[in-house]
Amino acid sequence: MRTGRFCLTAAALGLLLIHVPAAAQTAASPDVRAWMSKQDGNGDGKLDRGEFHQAVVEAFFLRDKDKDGFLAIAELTEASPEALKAIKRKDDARISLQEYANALFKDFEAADADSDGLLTVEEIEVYRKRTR
Amino acid sequence: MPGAVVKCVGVVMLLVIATTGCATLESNPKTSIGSLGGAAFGGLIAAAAGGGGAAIAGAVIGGALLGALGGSMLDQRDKRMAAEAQQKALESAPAGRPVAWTNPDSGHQGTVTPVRTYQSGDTYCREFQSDVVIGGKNEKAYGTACRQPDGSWKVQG
Repeated sequence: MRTGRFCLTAAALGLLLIHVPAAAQTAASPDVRAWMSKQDGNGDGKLDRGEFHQAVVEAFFLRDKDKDGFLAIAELTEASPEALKAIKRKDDARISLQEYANALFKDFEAADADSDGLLTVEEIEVYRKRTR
Repeated sequence: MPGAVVKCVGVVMLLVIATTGCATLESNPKTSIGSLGGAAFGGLIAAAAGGGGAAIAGAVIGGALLGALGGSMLDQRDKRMAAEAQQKALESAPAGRPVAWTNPDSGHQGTVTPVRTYQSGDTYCREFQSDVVIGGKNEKAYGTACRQPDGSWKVQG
């Protein structure tokens, strides 16, 4: 059943919500490829943990409009309450960069089908469709 | 002095002025741009180490002379526009997306592009690249700035 709310897993690593236009998210292959290309610092066609972490930091920074180092959980449309609860250690209404990264790395691990520590466009696409 | 060195000095100065000048000059209009440039000079040398021109210029020319050269190459409007572009780029532009400025009066133009973002303690810092066209030639320089509590960005070093 679709809830209409992107959870962490359904959000295709969440970060795509920042960089991919909403209208393109249902058929995002070209946009995912473009996003991947932008994040792929070493140009190997895959996203390693370092590249992914940098994408997470950049996304968090851009989301943090008042630059206080936290995001309001209520504003995190890419995260489900269940997923956030799993990574939250304090019962407050905001999330730090570390918590944000921890949550999104759970998706990284889940999307990495062959467990090689690298994400391909195909793995991201499969993961997005599977969890949507 | 070789023209290339002078141009590189201008780029370095623009980096310093744009990053420190926006908030500082507005809050303290009597502060001289030359002295601001000298204060952040060391950081820019380190940031540009291995990058060629800027590091060479920094190693050869002292801070006071550097300030004088930079001030003579860029007019006040150049500096204001560069400062505004830099503030906008560092505050809100995604990494890799340049924010441009153009001064039709002087013919000078440039871009400021965030390269990488990180947190240092509770502070955001961003590495950035500045491209400036002076005399029809594009010059590049690199730096790192950290966000201050008042919302301005200060070059590290």
